[in-house]
Amino acid sequence: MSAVASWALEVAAVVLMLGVGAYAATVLESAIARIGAGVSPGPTLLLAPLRKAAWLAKQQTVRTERPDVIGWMVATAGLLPLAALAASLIPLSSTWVMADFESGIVLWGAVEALIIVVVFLRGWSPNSTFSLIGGYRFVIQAFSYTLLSMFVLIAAALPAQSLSIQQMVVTQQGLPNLVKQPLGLPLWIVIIVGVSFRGPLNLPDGRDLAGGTSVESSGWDRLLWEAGRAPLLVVFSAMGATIFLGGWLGPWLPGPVWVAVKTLVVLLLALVVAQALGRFRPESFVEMAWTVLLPVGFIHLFQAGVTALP
Amino acid sequence: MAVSLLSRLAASTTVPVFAVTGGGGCPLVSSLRTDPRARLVASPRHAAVLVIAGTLPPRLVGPVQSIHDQMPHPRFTALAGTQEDPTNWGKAVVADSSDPIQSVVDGFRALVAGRHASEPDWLPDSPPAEWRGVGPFGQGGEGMMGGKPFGRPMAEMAPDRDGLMLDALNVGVGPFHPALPPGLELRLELHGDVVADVGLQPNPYLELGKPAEKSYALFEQAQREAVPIARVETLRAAHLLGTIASAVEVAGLESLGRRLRTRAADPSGGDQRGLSRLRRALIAGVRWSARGVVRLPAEELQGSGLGPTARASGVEEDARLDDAGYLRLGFAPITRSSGDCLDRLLQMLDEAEQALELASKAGTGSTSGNVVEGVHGVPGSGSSPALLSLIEEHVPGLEWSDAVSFIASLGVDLQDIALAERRVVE
Repeated sequence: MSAVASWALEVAAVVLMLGVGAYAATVLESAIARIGAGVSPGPTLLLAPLRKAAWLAKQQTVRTERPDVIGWMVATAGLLPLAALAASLIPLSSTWVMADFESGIVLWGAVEALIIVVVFLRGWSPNSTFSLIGGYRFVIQAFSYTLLSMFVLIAAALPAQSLSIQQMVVTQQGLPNLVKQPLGLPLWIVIIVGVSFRGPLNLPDGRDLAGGTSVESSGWDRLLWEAGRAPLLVVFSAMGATIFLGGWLGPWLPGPVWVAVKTLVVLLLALVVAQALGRFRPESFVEMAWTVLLPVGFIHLFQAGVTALP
Repeated sequence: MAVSLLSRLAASTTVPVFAVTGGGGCPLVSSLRTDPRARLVASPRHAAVLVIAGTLPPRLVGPVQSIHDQMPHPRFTALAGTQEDPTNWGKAVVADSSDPIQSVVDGFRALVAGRHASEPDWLPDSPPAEWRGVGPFGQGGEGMMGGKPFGRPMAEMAPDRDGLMLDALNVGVGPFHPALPPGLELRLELHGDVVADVGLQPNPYLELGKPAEKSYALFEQAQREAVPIARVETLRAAHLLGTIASAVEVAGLESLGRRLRTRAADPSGGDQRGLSRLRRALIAGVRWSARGVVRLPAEELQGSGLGPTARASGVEEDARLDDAGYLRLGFAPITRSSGDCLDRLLQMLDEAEQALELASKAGTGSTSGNVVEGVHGVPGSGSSPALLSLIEEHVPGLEWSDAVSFIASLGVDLQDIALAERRVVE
């Protein structure tokens, strides 16, 4: 296969992960919500995201009085490319990874940092009180989980003795990190829920803020934003599947199928947690993150280091 | 072809509705929360249909017009269960009383298909006040801070709770904020996310001449004459479950809210295990957002007649203790001890469960006919308005999310309060 064809295939895989994955995640989220409400999910859910997208495409995009228009547009359009960048780092097989370089988790960390900027900018730009408070809330929430995220990623990198995500998968041959580092996946679920601000960590867009960073959003603006949020959920779940469940490793099935199946498992876990828990108080989440989760992250890192010793 | 397909897909989505509640509108708004054909949205920007449920007090007309004009096009208004003159509301659709939600759905489909024109603004697109042209930047304040350019208060420096000088922002919230009871309008001084001060606007439902909600009428009737205990207690259970549903929806637990509302629509329809499952889901869901938030001390609530709110703090007061009909059933009030938001919600669930037990034991037994414990206290004793005093007293100093959880845990219902206040006047 020529280099161009291989590159095209890798791009297609990323687009598929973002498009199909995000669509499936949205359907799954609605299905879990319905089951939680004691209502049968029903087949109508399958088309529900498409219908909502069509409605948003027809709705007027309203701008507020004296917004920061450029900031608003950059923020709205910024989330999807960041999700795509993160997706390009996920290995789908031993040879199939779009951006396979030695310092993969450094780029992953950069994506996490830029997500904070984008969400804050979206809260800031409309010149609206609740939107602004939502933006600030995301900053404190993200600062509280980002360090934890770095601990979890470094712990996964220790046995690989490399910052390459592909190498992290390879070292799980035989025994996945889920067993070797049992605290890792639960901590990563917190990060998935936080970065996609859902359920208990939907602090920036909560109902108490009438929609928070999205309170002023309508039409195409909202459609693009949602089209970035859902892929984030999928990509972070895929990363969880990669660093804890062995990613593409597995018998009989091709690597990409294993990645899809394992991503689905992590996604389901994150969505069930998001569904079952009400929104945390901002103050108590920050307190919990710094006084409980971070020390647990330290223990996790220490345990991963000891386990990785030859 | 593509446009047509887009329109057909758009028209088949669940209808995004922003609902405002007037007198008599609560049941419709509650059913909008559980009906799969529609979904209530938190912001007017997310809505296509404005539903005016019930009769609006005159003071709420202006805010509703303002909400309408914030909705993006295409948009339309549906009037349901109201005594309003539709001609006062532009081209608003009057919903069919037998199935108002279907009228909303049909109107939405017609709107998307272009058969129903999008409504123009109802208010002039002008600032609430003139530009004052005072101060170095013409904003009416000092320096770059303060003042009210175009009638909108700017942030001003003020000491915060830590003694730092930070921007204080004066904002109005309500009367139809999605996380507050309908009609509740607050004037907030915010220091970031912290409420430094709060002021409550007068209860708009006092402008309505008589209690519009049939359910309240039963409690009112029970003040004057004997009514079947089974009816009173079933209604109490329904109200309490509905109140818990509102509180958990504020915390983001929409699915649990829906389960509670389904049970509230038919309180006697499920079994005890169903209530136990609801209890487990409630505790798991709101533990992190409600535990320890605003503990109301028992001594503050002694003699307040604040019903489940007082009993959640350990105050053993209940008007049913003075009713021979209830005593025959072996009634004894349930209490809790910590009096925080979590306890108030669990107290309401306990009392809903107890109410269903009483209803099943009561048979044809009736109340004594002189006083009855209302859902949130004794109607007409001035008890419910005391809930508003609790808000004024305890909200300053709270983070906004805690303030919202606290208010939700009180089960404030301004229509109920208007009824109680009217009885005091009478």
